[in-house]
Amino acid sequence: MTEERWAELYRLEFPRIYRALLAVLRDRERALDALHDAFVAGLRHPPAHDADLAGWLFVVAVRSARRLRHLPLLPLEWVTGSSGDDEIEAALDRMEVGRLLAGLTERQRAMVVAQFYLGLDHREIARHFGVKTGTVSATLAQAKARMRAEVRNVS
Amino acid sequence: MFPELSIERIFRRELDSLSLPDEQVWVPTRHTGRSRIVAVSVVVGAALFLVLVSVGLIRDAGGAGILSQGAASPSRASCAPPAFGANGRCQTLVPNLVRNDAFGYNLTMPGDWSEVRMPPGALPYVIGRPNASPALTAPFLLDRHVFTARSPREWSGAAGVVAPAWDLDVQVWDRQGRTAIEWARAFPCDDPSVSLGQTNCIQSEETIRGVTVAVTSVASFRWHITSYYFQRGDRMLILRYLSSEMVAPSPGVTEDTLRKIIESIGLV
Repeated sequence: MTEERWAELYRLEFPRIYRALLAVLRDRERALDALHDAFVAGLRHPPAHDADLAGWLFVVAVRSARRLRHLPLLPLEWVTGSSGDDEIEAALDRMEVGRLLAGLTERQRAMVVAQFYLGLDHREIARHFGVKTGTVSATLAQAKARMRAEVRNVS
Repeated sequence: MFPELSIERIFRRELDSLSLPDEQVWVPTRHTGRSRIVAVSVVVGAALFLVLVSVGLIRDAGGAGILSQGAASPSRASCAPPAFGANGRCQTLVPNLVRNDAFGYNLTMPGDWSEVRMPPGALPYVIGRPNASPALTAPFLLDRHVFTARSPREWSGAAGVVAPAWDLDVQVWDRQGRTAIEWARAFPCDDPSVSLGQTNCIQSEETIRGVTVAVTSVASFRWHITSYYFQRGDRMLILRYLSSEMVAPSPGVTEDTLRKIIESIGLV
């Protein structure tokens, strides 16, 4: 795949993957950083098929975000004047989906978003995350149980 | 049973409403969005050219004249930013001289640079840093100007301690009896977050126009802050810029552009 083709495909998928990452990470800087890392990774070793692109980008970015969390970044308040992404937190908290996801672990959120927003099935999620299908099923079942409980609490 | 079909719809409807960042930063290269920026620059440049021709060439602070660059160029696209095509030639605005008589310095800026007003509350105060000495608080900041190559439409000031990436932040402080090196250590070098892990601060000295200045460079993950400290009597003149691969600079602006502006300094 040429660099131009990769950039074109990435551009097409950017809005969807970025929003998926926002739902998981709840932080614009981390989401953008992680997605940029996935782009660079794809330049080096692009996914085998275009059809895999969304799931591939998403999972590579989620993994990158986990790594970045442990790296010392410049304090965000130096640049933005605030130490958190209050705006995106507030936006997600206003959403039904945001409230449901807030009670999940980051890994559960990633799989839930992969299924419900990106439309990946259990087998695809398992392949991208490098886990067994049974693990995906179990993680999603736990996540759904938590979300159901949240819905019950609200109602 | 969890209503999976409806929740998929809710996910799409709600998450699709989250706002996206500026398209310029979608692809992490300096070429990102360049065609759009170049197109805007060419249009703005052409309009500016017409205005300047109509009112005559104005030089010195606040204005700019046109300087032809090289041989005639039939194609606008071949003009390297910040030059722009007009009348079949590559043109650049002549540099502006920025004079600050009150605090005794002047700087030569490329013609397309201008001063911007930082948002209310966006001041370089660093309060509560345990090692901050001299104090980087309100009474000690005497003057501040921020310059940018971005157009007013493109520029949006950050509310943080540092000016937006690729802009030049010029501050004058009451020196409080501290040396340039002590100032360099006060911020950002000895900030607790800087001495951690892979973030580091390199201190050096440079001679600019016969004056020895302390220079610090804080390199973190994708962010770099470079600061020049000029010790002037009982004042400390600080020139600082943030560079980042996460933020596309204006066409033609590089770290070299910023360094050249700093090296153009004249001290009175």
